[in-house]
Amino acid sequence: MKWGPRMLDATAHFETIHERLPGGAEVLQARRSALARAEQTGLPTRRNEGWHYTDLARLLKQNDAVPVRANAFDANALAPLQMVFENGLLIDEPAGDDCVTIESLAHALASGARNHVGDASDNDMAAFNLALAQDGAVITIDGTPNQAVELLTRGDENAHLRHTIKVKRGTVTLIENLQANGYTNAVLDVEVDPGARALLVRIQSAGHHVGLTRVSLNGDGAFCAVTFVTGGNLARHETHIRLLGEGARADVHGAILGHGTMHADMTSQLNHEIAKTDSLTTLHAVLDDAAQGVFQGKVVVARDAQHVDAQQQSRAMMLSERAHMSAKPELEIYADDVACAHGAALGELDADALFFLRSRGIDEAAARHMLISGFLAAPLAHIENEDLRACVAAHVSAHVPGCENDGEGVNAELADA
Amino acid sequence: MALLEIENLHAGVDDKAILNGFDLTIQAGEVHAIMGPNGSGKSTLSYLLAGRDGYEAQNGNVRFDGADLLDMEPEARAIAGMFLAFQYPLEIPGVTNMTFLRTALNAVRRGRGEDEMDPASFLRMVREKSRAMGVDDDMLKRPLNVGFSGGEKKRNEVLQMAVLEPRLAILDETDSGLDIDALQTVADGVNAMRSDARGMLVITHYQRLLDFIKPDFVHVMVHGRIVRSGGPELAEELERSGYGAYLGAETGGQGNEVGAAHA
Ligand SMILES: Nc1ncnc2c1ncn2[C@@H]1O[C@H](COP(=O)(O)OP(=O)(O)OP(=O)(O)O)[C@@H](O)[C@H]1O
Ligand SMILES: [Mg+2]
Repeated sequence: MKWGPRMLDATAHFETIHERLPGGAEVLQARRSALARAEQTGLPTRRNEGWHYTDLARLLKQNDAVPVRANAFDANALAPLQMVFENGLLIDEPAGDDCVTIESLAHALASGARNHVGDASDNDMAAFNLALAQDGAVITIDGTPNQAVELLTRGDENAHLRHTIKVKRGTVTLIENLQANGYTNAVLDVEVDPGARALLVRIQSAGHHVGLTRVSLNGDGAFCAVTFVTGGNLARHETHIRLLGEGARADVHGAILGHGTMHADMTSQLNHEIAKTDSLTTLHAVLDDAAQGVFQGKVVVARDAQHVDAQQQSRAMMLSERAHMSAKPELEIYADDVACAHGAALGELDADALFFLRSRGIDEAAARHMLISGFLAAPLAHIENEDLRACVAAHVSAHVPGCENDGEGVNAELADA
Repeated sequence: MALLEIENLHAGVDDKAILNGFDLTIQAGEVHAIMGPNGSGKSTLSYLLAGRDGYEAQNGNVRFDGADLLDMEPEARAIAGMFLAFQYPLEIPGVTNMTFLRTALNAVRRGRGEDEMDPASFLRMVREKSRAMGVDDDMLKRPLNVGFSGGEKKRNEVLQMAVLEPRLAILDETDSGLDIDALQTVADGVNAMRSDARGMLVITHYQRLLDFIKPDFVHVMVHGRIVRSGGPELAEELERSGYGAYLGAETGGQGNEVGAAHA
């Protein structure tokens, strides 16, 4: 079967859609210069900084790959405020509520706003996105909403989405539900005001997704992202966070349930620009078959940013000899009174633990499932909302790599983890 | 029919011979104790009986309730009623003790053709048994053995035994690492499980445990075989005089009967 993303010819694509692209003359001008830049740099290869382990140009050319898919993640039990994007366009726009203002990017630009297309000066993929994004979500949170806000992405075409989220007050739970089969380039800009919190849960179950999340923590607010890649041939989830106010706290957690020829890359850069800011970056990768996992985590602590606590940890469980893991944790510290640490661990399923469980009557398949689920319990624990955690746990439990997922008698395990 | 019948068992790891003609028969209702110097093969025997990978029998027979034990997968042995309390219990991150106990019990019950236990009855039963074993609620909610103290792990092993109700329980140095009160608690737990239908094999270095759990038979194991068997008084004798005589017999006499060492 021939399957894969259609090759991205940015200029040709731009020419076909530019009349439909939202935004006035000024926005169009910004798009044209971004396009020029994108065409000049092209898609990143391993020679580009930050792309050493993920040769995007090559990976997007592999259009004869066997699709790597999980079942679509379903958060409907939580009745979220849901925005559905199909092939890069919003098809279902919910009304907001008292604390949530929701608008599509197309509407926001049509009404003259310019800032929502954002900035592409420092990132190649953001340049493609600026040039080609047709739609996205523009969300303002002012108080804690009763429901989570879900951005659901699906379809088979190349898509460019740009979301901007501003959290002024309260705590918002965001779900990014990535189930598109094609190639998606998504940029998510998040601004969190003092005292506010943005909690993002992201599930990729299919496709070729290249995402860039940029976060500004303006004061003692918090941002927590927990990403699960359960399916998809290509996953690149890049997160940049600026901690700009004392007391700010950033969490970036990832889990890769690698199987088939999945290539999943978790890249992050956390800039502690001010004192008394904390961050925790973790990855748990379970890699079966010929799956490839990448952890690139960088923590930068600015001069005078004292009393910073920044921890990074990457752990991989290798289930196959063909699987591969690359881990590059990095610390760049210019202050002297900080607590920063990083580590990368790589191991196999613990044979002694497996025997221990089997000696208690648990059959081998269930024991494997139990051990691997146990390994994946750590990222799940970072999901604050209990109902959402249970939803994600069920999805994860059904896609634990290296197990026959008949699910018999084992699905309950993660629910009380 | 004997509950467990081990005949002329030769076994090892890789090419190293560890068990050298081991014989032991346990009838239902009996408690046997094995004592022996470090490295004599006691844990190897227990792993072999529980079915751990890498421990292969080269020779001999093991019948458990009449079935050929060595042919069975570890989980099938557990279902048949074999239980090993590990000398070094494993830590399992991310799986709560409670979930583990429920999964294990239901797996064993399914395997025995019984219905799974409903959650409410299970909870009641576990609470009761864990209280008796001095395992508090917090330890039930925590990931299995993670961060448990040495003694807590041992108590947790005995709790698993109480929950799974095996036909034969092998306790491999369950007393090591226990404080004096915990030793009493654990011994009470084990004694409460003594029954005509159940056998026990208690591996220990210390006679003290055998004051609490009175064995019917005591065996001395040296270099992979039993060199002497007797009643509880044998444990007291070992406590006084150590293994010296038996070790001498092994190195000098090459398979001589134990009696010779005493002559
Ligand atoms: N996996 C293994 N590989 C190599 N040698 C082993 C292995 N397991 C056990 N042995 C060796 O077999 C011998 C018996 O070990 P075993 O653990 O059975 O002794 P033990 O009687 O339980 O000792 P202790 O009283 O110290 O617990 C020892 O010499 C030990 O080093
Ligand atoms: Mg031992």
